[in-house]
Amino acid sequence: MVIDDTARERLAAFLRNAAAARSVRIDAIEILTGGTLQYNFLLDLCLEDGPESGKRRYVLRVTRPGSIEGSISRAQEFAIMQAAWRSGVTVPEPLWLAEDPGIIGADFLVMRFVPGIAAPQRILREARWGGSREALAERIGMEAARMQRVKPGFPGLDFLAVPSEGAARGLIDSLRLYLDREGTPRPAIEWGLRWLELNAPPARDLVLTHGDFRTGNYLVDEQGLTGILDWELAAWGDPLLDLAWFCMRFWRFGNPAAEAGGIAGRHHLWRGYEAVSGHRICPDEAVYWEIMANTRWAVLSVQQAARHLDGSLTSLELALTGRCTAEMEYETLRLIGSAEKTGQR
Amino acid sequence: MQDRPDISELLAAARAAILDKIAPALAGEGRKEALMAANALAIVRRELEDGETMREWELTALRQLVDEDEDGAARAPQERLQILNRCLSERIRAGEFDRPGARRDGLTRFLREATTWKLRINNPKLLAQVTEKS
Repeated sequence: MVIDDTARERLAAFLRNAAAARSVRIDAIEILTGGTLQYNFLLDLCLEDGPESGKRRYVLRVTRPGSIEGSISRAQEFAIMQAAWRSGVTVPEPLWLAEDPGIIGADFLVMRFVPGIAAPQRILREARWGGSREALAERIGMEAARMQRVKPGFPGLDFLAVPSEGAARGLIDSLRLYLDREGTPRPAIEWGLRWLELNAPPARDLVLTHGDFRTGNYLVDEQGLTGILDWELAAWGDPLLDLAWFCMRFWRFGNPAAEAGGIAGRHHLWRGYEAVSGHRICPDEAVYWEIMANTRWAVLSVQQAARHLDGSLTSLELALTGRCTAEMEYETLRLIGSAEKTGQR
Repeated sequence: MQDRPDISELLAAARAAILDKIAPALAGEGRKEALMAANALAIVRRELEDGETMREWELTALRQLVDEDEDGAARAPQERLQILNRCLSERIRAGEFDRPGARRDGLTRFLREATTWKLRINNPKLLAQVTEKS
């Protein structure tokens, strides 16, 4: 995606207006990351007057042309980030939203730049990033608890569907629906879904869930956490979904003993969550949601591979994700096996 | 008769070139793509070597869980696998394996072995890690 000179002019005019500045000079705009659903640009501005006056750095997040159905719009992502920001979650401050695709070719949002790295292999292997691992995991648990202060009815989030029969039931139905549309029979995933259906805990109050809460989707600097990123899968869900997702074997990036995202033992994550939320985590329920997380990621991996296979986004990474499905299937079967053994004791 | 190197040898040579020569010359995204390409070739090589055995095992195992009529048995192996897996999936969803017992144990044994087969080809390193523990 290229932002040419005339688009730059339109962008500067938009920013001047949005930031209530007398003038805006774009010093630099360069691609930061090309995600599979959107691009992030680093934006260096020099603003005259207004609340943002001075030389400042931002991130411009723009929808990738030809994005898949089911992914949310930038306006919706903006609303979710605002809700998280207002609830005290460490998230890059969402500043401005442009729903007019005529400015740079697609809708976009602008957030404050947050320093740090997100690459899982670097966070795991390079000790200088993220500070104390235990403290980082605990902090992330606290962040999850703050996010959950956002509940259905929160202003501006009406576009998020409320699963009427509860979070577990809603997820099971939507995952089955996707499998049926995709068409390939997958008995291991079916068994996971059936087990989840038969063993569903009573429905609880719904909360805002990030949906892809894991190592790789947060930024750290040398002290610790600086921001939680990538809110495009946010939805109303069970309080334990994000915590379980964070602990899935797949997101431990080859460091399985550190259950919490490859960085620390899961009890550190839980301790932070329990301290802020005031809720004790029931280990049996956590296992249930870890089985759900694995089953969900198994289905999403099928979906990612399908995007490569149907030509909507040609990518070796997406293609190989299709060959990861068995990892989550295996883990699901293993977790169900041990849950049943525990149950019989 | 085709000349050597055979398919496996050729794949191994291409993979070695990517790992030893191409990837080290690259940085960032390019390097990541190169390593992924090498991984893809390794998967292909393992599937070339073991894919046939896996399919034969799976057909036999599936036929112990669900019935196959004469029509089905006359089809190509890949299609038979599709049909049998679909039939099994529908029965799982319909609740036919809910009750604890031999039938359910047979299903979970099959599923574990089938995923193990896939992992053996897609990610043997992970498989070694998870089986070492249990």
